[in-house]
Amino acid sequence: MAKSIYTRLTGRKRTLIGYSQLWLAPDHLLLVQSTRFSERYQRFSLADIQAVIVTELPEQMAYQFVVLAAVIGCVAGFLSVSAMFGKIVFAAMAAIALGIMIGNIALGPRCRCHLQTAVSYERLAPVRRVRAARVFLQKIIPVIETVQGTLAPDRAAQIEFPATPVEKPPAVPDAPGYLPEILCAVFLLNAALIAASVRFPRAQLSSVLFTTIFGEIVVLIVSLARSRHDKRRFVYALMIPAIFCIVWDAVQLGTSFFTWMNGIAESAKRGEQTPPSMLAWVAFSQTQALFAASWRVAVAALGLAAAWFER
Amino acid sequence: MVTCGECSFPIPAEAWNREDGALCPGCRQRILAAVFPSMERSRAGAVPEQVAEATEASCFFHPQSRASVPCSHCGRFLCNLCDIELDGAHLCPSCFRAGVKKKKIESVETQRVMYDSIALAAATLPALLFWPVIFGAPAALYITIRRWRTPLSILPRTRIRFVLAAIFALAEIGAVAFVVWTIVRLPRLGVAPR
Repeated sequence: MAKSIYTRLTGRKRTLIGYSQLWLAPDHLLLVQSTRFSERYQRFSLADIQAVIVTELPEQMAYQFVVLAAVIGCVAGFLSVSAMFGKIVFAAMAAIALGIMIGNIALGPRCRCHLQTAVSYERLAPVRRVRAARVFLQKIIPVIETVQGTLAPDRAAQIEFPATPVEKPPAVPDAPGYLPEILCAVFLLNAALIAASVRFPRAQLSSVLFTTIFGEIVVLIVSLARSRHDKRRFVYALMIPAIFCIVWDAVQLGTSFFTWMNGIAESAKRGEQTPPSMLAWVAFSQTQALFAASWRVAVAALGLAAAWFER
Repeated sequence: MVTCGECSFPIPAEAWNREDGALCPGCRQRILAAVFPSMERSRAGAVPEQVAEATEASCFFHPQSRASVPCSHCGRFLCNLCDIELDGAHLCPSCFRAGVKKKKIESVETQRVMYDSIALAAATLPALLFWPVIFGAPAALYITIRRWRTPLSILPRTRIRFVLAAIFALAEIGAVAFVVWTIVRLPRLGVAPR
């Protein structure tokens, strides 16, 4: 591993799909935004940094009360149930909620940190607690002052600013990506699998449907989460009715699966040597399959057309 | 102008660089504002000088402007406006654009793909659903071999993910091969498959 010029400045600010972190190089500050599979870099030259502003945020009293209410609810649940399993579940939930509350208090007040240059005003997401912000400032101020020198109070008072703020340049639009198109392709694939599972019941395609419908849900959630980066609207509007239809299909799939599982349990109770085989499980009836396949084809066709024309 | 991160209210100079911070006049939240001398700097860039005589060296891109430096890569003469100083070198806009496009200038790269994480995900996530390993394991192995030499993050990072991905992928391929071999061998061993 080649020796890197970067040293870590802050911890990771984790999100659902990645994290952001600050690193220091000899001549610049690096803000890394990672999605786990890719990293985006923003560099701020130490010579160009005009100010680092940390603003303390109000305390999260409502959030603390909600967590406290959850703890009290879990304790009440723990005391009211008699089954050991229930007691363990409630105790674990209460411990987690209590841990979150104590952790939040122990980390101290929250803050928002911004970095200002002559042409930008960037939020530094990894700095989100006052204590961490003070440590960050202790590290970064001497480094910047080594490059720029110190701003004397008398000189600071003499700085004149333009009366009107300088206009911000237009934001560079993000590339829309191809997630809606991929989702439509998955819809078409699932429609074909559903039709094939009814037409060829012995092929056991129903077992594949669990995976592919799960994949469909994952792609749908990721597409909606990333929709703010995309100007297209109709293709995302189509996803709303698709969610209801997927939920309906999932209920049908789950019901048929548990009916089949019950059949196995019943046969075991009766002492039968051979339980119902996988072939006995029919994921969708003819009518259900017709609905599931046709809405997918319709949404996929409309979605692909909309994605193409709106791009 | 230094503004509050919460309410965008201008922070007065008296509140700058105070260790204990100060209250924002707008939202009354405590603020710590570390302000540096570049605040005094003008936003205006360098203006290229005009060519006075016909014999003077002029910029390749702006013939009316006096050349101040040659491009370190292609040697074209550049004026103050066209000179891009980077890591001690002077580049013209064309060489800079080419360098960015071909990812030859690490200090301006804005994005990198983490192929090691992709390979590890391809090796491990499909295993949760078992049958997709048929595709996931070879894909992980292919990515590991194909992208082993591709530069990863610009931050400190080892290739351990590639190694783990290759180990998982080989183990999965071995397991799948064993299952197939067992299914093929069962009738010969006298065990009738159900």
